[in-house]
Amino acid sequence: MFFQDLQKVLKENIREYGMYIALFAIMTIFTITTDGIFISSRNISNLLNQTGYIAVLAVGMTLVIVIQQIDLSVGFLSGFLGAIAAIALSFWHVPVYVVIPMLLVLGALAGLITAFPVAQLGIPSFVTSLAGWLIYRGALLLVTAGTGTIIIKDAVFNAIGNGYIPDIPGIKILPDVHKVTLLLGLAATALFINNAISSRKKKEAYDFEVLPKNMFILKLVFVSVIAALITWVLAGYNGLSWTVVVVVLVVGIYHFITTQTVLGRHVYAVGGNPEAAELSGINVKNITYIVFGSMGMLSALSGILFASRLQSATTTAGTLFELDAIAAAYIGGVSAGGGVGKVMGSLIGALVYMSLTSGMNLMGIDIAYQYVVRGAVLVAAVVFDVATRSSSK
Amino acid sequence: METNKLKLLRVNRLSQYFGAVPALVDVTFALEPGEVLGVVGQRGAGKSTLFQLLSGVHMPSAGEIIWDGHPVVLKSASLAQRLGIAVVRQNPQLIDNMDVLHNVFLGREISGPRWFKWMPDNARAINYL
Repeated sequence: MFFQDLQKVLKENIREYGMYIALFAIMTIFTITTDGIFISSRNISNLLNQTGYIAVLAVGMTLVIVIQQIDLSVGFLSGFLGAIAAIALSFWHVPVYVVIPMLLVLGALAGLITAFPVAQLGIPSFVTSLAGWLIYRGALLLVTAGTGTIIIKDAVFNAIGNGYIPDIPGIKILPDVHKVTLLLGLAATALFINNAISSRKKKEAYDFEVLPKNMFILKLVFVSVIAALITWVLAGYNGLSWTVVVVVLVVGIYHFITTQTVLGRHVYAVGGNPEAAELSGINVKNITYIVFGSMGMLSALSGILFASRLQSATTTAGTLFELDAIAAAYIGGVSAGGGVGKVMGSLIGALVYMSLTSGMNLMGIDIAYQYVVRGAVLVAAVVFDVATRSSSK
Repeated sequence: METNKLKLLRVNRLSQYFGAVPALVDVTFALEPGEVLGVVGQRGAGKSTLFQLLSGVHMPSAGEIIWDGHPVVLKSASLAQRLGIAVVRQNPQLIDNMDVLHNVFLGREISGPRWFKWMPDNARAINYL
């Protein structure tokens, strides 16, 4: 009975659960092949910090691909804005609390500029964003031409990519464990369980279909165990990094917008059928501007995370970020056909993608093979997506 | 003219030509608030054209649309919708990746306070239906 239920639920929701299972499998394989180094607190902590700047791009890219567009300019835009941040901090001595909002605004403006020919003239975003790719690459080389790599010395700025949230001082129990991280992990798990139960009750009240009770409990237990594991692993090193905090905030905000607001609904409507959306009174141009504007803003955030992590701006910052973000989004279940894709999926996609890099690095696999493996995983993910879509409909 | 005041929508000699081809010629009718009117006709009779004119997708070649006593020019679907003229369309103009409910409410979602547009719960929308 239990296994029959399990089989049925997995079969019906294979699209949704597929990438979680894939991530779990990849992490298990690497843990075995690296004798447990992969799952060590230090490596997972590093992995999450490296995923940060790709994850925020993947979140923005999700919406761009959902509305049937693409943005190739985000990589060098992120590199260019990172360089601007470094120049502002190191040469102009602008306070960090001014630099960060300024950069986010600049990023959003850059996104609007990319969107302008797309929205007003119907020019394919591949072309306009390719132009952006070239322009921002040139701009990055230009602003770093005189100096080369620009070192950033601002401690607050550098903490974003390297720092960890503070712990409560003076508590003697569990000396080697980060208590605040542990508490936050527990709180998040409790919140998730509470939300799951209340939304299930709401659905039941209106006779909507819900998971069978044993499967629902299994899902809660599974998620709680994973959350507890991640929390324990992170708490065993330095705790939650600021990068993880930023990524969680971005994913949380975008998850809310895409699932709970009218704006989010309209984004998916435009992606599903732009003409029908226009006929229903949705302003497709506005949606295009909003999605590209948000993409630009997240590019700036990615630039901040990357420059902060390296504590410097380099002449090649942002190279290939756009393709990593696009790959992460596709691995996370975003459909090239438009209208389909979740923010959470892209986060998982980014984690899968970066886990592959991290795991293969630990195993000492040659970079040449790494590209081949990543390519194969991307193809496999898209084939899986297409295959499960036709069977579930 | 007194009776005009009671009508919510009056359509006066509405016509639409695509080039020289007449799609709709001299349609005139009036609707009171709460009134239900069925429009029946063969394929090509102009039913869809009528609804496209009323929902602001096309501008009529001739005739006028009077909404709540005032002649209106429906330049866009969103303008028609803001006045209160909404259309639930048929197959090719639906969004495949959304369910029936969300298609019905597309562009006219039940939202919370104006300053922050919450999406309605499915459940709330069902109550509304």
